[in-house]
Amino acid sequence: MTTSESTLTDSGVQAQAGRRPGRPDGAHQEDLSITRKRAGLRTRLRRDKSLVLMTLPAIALLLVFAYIPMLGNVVAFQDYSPFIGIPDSPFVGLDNFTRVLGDQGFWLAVTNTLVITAFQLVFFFPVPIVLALLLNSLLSPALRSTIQAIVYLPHFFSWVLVVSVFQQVLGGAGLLSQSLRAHGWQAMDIMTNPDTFLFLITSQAIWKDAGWGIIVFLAALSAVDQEQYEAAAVDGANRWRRMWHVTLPALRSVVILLLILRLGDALSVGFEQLILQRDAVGAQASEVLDTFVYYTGVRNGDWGYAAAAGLIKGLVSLALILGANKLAHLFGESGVYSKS
Amino acid sequence: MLGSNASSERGASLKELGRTGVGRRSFLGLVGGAVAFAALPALTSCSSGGGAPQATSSAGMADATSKLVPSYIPLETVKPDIPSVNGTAPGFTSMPSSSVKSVQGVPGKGGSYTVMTPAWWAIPPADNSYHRAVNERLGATLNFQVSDGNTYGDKIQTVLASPKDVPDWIVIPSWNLPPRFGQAVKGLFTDLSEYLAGDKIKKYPNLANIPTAAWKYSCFEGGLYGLPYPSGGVGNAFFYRKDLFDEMGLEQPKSADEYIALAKELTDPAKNRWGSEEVWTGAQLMHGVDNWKLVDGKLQSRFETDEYRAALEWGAKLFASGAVHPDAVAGNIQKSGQRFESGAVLMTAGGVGGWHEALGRNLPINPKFQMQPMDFFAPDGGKPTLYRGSPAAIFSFIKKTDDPSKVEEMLALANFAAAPFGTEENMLIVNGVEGIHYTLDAQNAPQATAKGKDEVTSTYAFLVNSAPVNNEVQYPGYVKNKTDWEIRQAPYVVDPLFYGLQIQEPSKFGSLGKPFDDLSKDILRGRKSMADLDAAIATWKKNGGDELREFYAGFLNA
Repeated sequence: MTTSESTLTDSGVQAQAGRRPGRPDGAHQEDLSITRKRAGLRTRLRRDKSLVLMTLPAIALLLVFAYIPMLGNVVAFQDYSPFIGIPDSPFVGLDNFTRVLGDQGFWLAVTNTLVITAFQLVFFFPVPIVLALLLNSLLSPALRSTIQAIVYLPHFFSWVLVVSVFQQVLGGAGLLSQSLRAHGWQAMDIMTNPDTFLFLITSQAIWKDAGWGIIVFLAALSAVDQEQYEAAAVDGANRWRRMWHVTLPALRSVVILLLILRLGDALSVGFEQLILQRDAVGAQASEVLDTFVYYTGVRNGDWGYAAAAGLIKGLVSLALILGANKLAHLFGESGVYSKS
Repeated sequence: MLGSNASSERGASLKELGRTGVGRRSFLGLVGGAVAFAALPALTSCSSGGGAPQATSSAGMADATSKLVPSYIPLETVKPDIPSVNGTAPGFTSMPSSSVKSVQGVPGKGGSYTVMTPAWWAIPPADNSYHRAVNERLGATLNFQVSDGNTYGDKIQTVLASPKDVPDWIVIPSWNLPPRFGQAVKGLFTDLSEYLAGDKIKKYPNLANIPTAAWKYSCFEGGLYGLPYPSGGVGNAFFYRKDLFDEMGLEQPKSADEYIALAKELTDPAKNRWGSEEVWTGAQLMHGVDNWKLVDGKLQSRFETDEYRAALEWGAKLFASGAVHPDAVAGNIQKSGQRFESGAVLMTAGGVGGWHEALGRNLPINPKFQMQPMDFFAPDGGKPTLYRGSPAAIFSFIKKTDDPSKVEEMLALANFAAAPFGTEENMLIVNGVEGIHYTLDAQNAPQATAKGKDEVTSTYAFLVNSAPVNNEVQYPGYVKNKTDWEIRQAPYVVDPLFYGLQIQEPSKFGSLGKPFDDLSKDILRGRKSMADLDAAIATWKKNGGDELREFYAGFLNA
């Protein structure tokens, strides 16, 4: 950021310097400014050629896999049928949107999504940070890498497997219930209780992904200059003060960055995890926006309607990410992006 | 709508078959299972575009299709040991002593075609000795693109949406026909009526052996587009573990109340034993739920009928009794077969076709294993009402082509694939090559070799098939037991209201039945009450249910 700013100012100065001598009349000035602009772009391109070239593959990927498919969102304004195609499907204006907004099922999905996101933001998001801090305080490298390997592992299990494992342990015929019965207590079926579903899916998410989430934080922690700790120790700071004044500030920008990304993702919560457990607790507790779109679109063939719901979701996500980024700026962080 | 309501159930049943599926060669069983679930929704949920005139009018649907379908010219290949009664599948308790050759010469002309088929078992390599052997006999090359059957429906949607990706020949199970299929069929596939209608079928004697009802059900949008995999009869049943019942001195329940009482009695979590699976499909069969019912000359949708309500109430009572296995309560139906076969559950409901598959899986490890379908009973213990399953379960479609000779070649290949039991061609398609894929045992019954188990899967057999028969002679007593059971149920089998009509619902009704899918699960598990059903019906009516009723009323005299 800073380097590019400085080069920009440099080139601005150069351009102004070159422009100053010849500015006799208006017509000439126009000619000049055109050549200047062209030359400026050209020089800049020439100067940053290698950088620009390096971004091309990413831009191509974005175009092919994000921007061009985005044009397909036009089906949200159509009674779209894949068999007659976008050109021949009739346009229905905002009809799909009015239907979506008037649909109780959609609002149920929105509510569930937001509740799950908010809950997981509070109870899931901090877990990897705490884990990373704990791991970082371990001195033995062997112990540390063993623990790391163990907590990373569940990330590579598919949701089908995770849900089965939970069912085998916590289900009504699972380990827990059977041993409760064996000791003469009442069995409990945690897997089918809609009231505690929120806790269930959050613990599943923590079990599966919290370990994986610590990678980024560990990297940030390893970047902290050890001398800062020594200096703080010399100044008489105890463990807690060192964490408060050295470790946490070092993590702050990463935490805020991940928080913003998480908020942008807020409306996508565990599609696979939820669809697998839908029958166990019912749609009332488990219908989220992604499952709603899947059932209306793919299952029922109401593509336009599903696209409209997806588009609304996209708009809300955009608003969330912009808002979070603004908030980051208020905290003095650069966030995901910032205006130069 | 109705189709979509039930399709998840059917999908689930196939998933179950696939997951537990050792039965690689047991394509008949698989289809039996599929048919079973197809039995409930006799009508598919496909829909034609808003303005398609054909779909909104019933005028002379029967007349129109009867002009499209081929004549029925039955073949007399082998005489069954137990003949058919009121549409039951005939039974063959022993292998015929000699096989008939039904296709003279080489049917193919050296063409090469891509074919897409589903598989609910481990997919063998595309180039294997079984495919090579059959292709050689066919004189044409069929290159199979085999896809996972559990996600086949989603795959079909994307393939059909992109015409250049549509293979020359595509197999689509009836429960995977996508919404708005009516719009796809005309543009993508060949109308076979110009090749097969009436006596033109005489060129293909094995195809002419397929019952007319199956052909009629393969008519879409005023054309004969599908090649059928025929089905029919009662495809679904309650099953119980006869071996364990006998051990405990118990008999099958004979009324709805008895079922729950027995399920409760059998449940003993300490022994890891539960009375029943989630038997929602069975509950609807027992209560005689049909998609549409005529009450005082007015159509009632399944959701509005007293039967549906009673089935839900009974199911909820069963769940509340605590006799349903907790994993089934948690919605894990993929493993219901495993639970039943391991003895963790003693009563279940499922496709009759899964029966011999279960025997194939379990007899080698547990020779005492015995399962038995219950004789159906009405909820009060009286005579049941059973609705006949749709006449075809799976279709295959030939891609539109400008070259009639290609279509004719593929139909000649289809004629080979449709060879009935007792022919050389059928033996090759079902079992492969003798000495390589199977050997004959003392009873002359084919026993698969290791290679056969690996390579011979249902691919050619999905293209088209002859009418169902019971011929799994390798399981002692099975054919007689199953055929007899079917004959005992036969007196109670009636045609559903719109039997055999391939009705395409307009797309706007596509999601109408969806809420009931979730609601039934909620009510069964006690999360919602019957009052919620009333509310859902009111919403259904308001959102187009009454319109749908009128749409169907148009077909009443079709």
